[in-house]
Amino acid sequence: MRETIIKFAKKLKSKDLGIFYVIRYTKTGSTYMSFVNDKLDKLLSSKDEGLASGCFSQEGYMGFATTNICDNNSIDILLENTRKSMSIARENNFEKVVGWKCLTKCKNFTDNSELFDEQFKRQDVESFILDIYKKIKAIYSEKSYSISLNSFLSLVKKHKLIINSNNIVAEYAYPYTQTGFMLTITKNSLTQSYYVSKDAKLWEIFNSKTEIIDEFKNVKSRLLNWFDAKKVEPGKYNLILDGSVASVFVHEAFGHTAESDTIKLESPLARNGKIRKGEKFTKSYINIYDETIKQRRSYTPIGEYGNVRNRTDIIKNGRINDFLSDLSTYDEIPNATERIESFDDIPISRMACTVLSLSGNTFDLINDPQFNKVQDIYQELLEKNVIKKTEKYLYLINSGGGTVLAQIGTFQFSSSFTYELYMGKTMLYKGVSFGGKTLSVLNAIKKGSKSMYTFSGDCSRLGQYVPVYGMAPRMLILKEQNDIIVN
Amino acid sequence: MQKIHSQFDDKLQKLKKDAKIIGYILASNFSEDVSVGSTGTKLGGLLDPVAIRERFEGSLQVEFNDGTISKSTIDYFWLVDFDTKIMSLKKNSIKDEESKNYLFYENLPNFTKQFSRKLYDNHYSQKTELIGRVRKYKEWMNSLNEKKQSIQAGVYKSLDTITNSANLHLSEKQTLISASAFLGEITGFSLAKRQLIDMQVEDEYMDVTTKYYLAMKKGVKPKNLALPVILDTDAFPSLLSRFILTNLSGVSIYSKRSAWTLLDFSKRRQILADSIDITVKPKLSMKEWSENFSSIGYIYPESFDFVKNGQLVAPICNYRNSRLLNTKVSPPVSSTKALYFGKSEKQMNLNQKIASMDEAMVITTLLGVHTQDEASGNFTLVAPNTLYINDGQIVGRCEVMIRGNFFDIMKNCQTIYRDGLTLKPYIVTKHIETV
Repeated sequence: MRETIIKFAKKLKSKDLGIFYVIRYTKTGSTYMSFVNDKLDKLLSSKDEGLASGCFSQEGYMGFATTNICDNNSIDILLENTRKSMSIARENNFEKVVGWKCLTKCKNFTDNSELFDEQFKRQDVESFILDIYKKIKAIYSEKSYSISLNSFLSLVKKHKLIINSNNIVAEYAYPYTQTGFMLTITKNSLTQSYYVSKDAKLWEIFNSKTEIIDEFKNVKSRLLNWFDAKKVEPGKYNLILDGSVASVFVHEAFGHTAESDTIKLESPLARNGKIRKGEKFTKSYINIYDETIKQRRSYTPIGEYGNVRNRTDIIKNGRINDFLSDLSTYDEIPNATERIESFDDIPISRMACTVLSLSGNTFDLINDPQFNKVQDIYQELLEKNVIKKTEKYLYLINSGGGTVLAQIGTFQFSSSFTYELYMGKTMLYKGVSFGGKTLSVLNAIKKGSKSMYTFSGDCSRLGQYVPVYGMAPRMLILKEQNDIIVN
Repeated sequence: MQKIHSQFDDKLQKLKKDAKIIGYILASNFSEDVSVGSTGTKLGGLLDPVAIRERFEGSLQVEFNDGTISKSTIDYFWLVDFDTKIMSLKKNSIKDEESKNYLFYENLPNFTKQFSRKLYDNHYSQKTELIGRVRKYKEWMNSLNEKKQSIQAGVYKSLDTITNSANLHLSEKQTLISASAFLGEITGFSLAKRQLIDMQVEDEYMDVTTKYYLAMKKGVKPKNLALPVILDTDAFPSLLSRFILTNLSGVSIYSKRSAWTLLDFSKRRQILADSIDITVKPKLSMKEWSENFSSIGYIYPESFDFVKNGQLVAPICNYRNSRLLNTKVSPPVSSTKALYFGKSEKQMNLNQKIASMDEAMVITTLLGVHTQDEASGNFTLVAPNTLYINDGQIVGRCEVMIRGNFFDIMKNCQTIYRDGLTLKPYIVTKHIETV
């Protein structure tokens, strides 16, 4: 296919499409196995493969067309559609794009492309999942409740080939595996679930078996006690966010405010479509940045127009510094943050791995809510004078997800479990929602652990799902704020 | 593009013996679309170019002579080295009694349906209409002095074909025109039709949106938060989807994550006010969700009840889940837009309702509905764009947090309709607590 695409690119040169063009070939293949308890329930293979063609005239008018039918006739139609699209843009005096001018500075790039052919090892997967199922069944063996375990393991392979009219060829592949286990406990007609997921580059995933089992073992009492737990009284509290809540929050609340189209419309980071570079935004020890990391499933070393993706320091030492730029917000050299889900999507600025890191007010933390008792964690915090015994805190554990209106700066988040920490004792409550103003959360951060938590997930925006990562301190201490309400 | 589908079919027929295939079903979709939009104050550009797309995709389900089944997606690239790919399917085949499909063996009536013939044949020529619509929305938003604009319009044309090893042939051609307009993150609307969008309906949407938008520009802080709440036609479907559709799902019932069991359906458990039916009508010819058959060739009925007189009737089950649960196959409910509410206590205009209320709140947007516990029905949510009504007038916008139990609300509510615009009711209730 590679040769066909390159041949196709040469054909473009004779078509007078515009002074700059880019051809993007994208292939995503996946194999997915899911289990209900010890039964292999589904095994699905899927693939998404196709071509996109974009071009820009000297004035900056843009044309765009796609196809996944690659016979000669359809490729000719694709070129014709790209040209038609650009003509309509010119006839109607659409927005001009000047960012293509910077693309001469990018370099040829190749990485991992041979890995796309990695095959699914079915028997290994079955033995991995079934072994974990047996161990979890043995841990949750009492008769006072029933359990069911839904699990999956998927192998996803992405392959990208980008060729542009500056003779730039960028090609990379990245295969990754992901596994997830949803344990559902039913007791007295009530149900509560706990989800553990891991991901890795290929079959390193099998090394996570012990961690998965240990986590289910540690949360057993938390899960079973949840059924009798009370609800939290609505109000304002000092909060402790665990890494799962903090990392998702940073992605949703601050990462999205830094995406180029949000910057163009309205963002707390910008004024009149321009970033407020250098302005103080929050406390000086707070940093937020976004980067692509090779061992992570959001790996996107190249933007969709062929430029190398740069790290973006969004908030540096508490000040607004940069945003996730692309050709639409061209200033000098964009950070090439544009991504797509499928070959026929229009590239938009997206995060890869968004990180909240503290350069001060940090503390060492040995215990971890995934693997240790909350009472032990509380004791460690008191001994290290991170919090005081006489101050009441709500400790929110296990993110249940959330939503943010990035432009307005309003959020809602939830956690599956909540602990009250007060006077040396801990008490479990049911999960909570907390909502309010996003900037208030950033300003409420008093301290954070040095050790970091990493989450992986899929982020949906404008109808496109892309894999993302996030990192934040395993524990974030927040002071009570008027406009953050827990309910 | 029927040609590509036929190439698959021919190759499968020829390979049947060598690959030890005893049955197969092949579903394909060919689509062509044109779209354009506007982000910010500019039309087109990098984020919203005139995008012209074509796509062929589908699914293949094969049963081998040892009784195992393999499922895979297909696309045009499958035709390259087809024989090897079919042979490799065997490696990923599994015992899957529930998926064995009667269509492998039985003959059903073949048919071809076509909606919107005129649009289908000339879909590309609609680009002028699309650009005109986007410009019209832009001018409207400019007149409101709102720079934060998000506008999209598109025409989508598709051909669905299903064949199987027992000579079944189903096909349908459809065209869809869509348009959406949002003012920043505050308010907006989406329209989709299988015909040119009626100007009167569009104008009515723009009028209602303008009214909401202007009210929302003014921030207010009501002294009293213990007020009746009206759930708007945007806010209500998100709750409906989380608390009703998720629990009605056959997968949730099978995996015991639903609030209900099969026994609740056989006993017709009362879950909503007895004035409410929830019905799907999948074959209405000119609606955006219209379909005649599923991707495994299940031909939909005209109408299917999930809830009747507030009582549970049937879960949402595809063919496989219906075999797992030993219940009826239902049409899918991919969107709450496809659902009908059979009755209402009262048909009245929202404006009349608002005029009749001393003090109330209209909830237009809810954040984080997907994070709530669907089985219990309990929710606590941020409602950032809430309209405060005082003395029968919309006074301004406030941000509140609401909490309650969805099932309690739906047993104690009044349903009212925005005439002519939507099938979804507004829900009026005193059973939501605001914080």
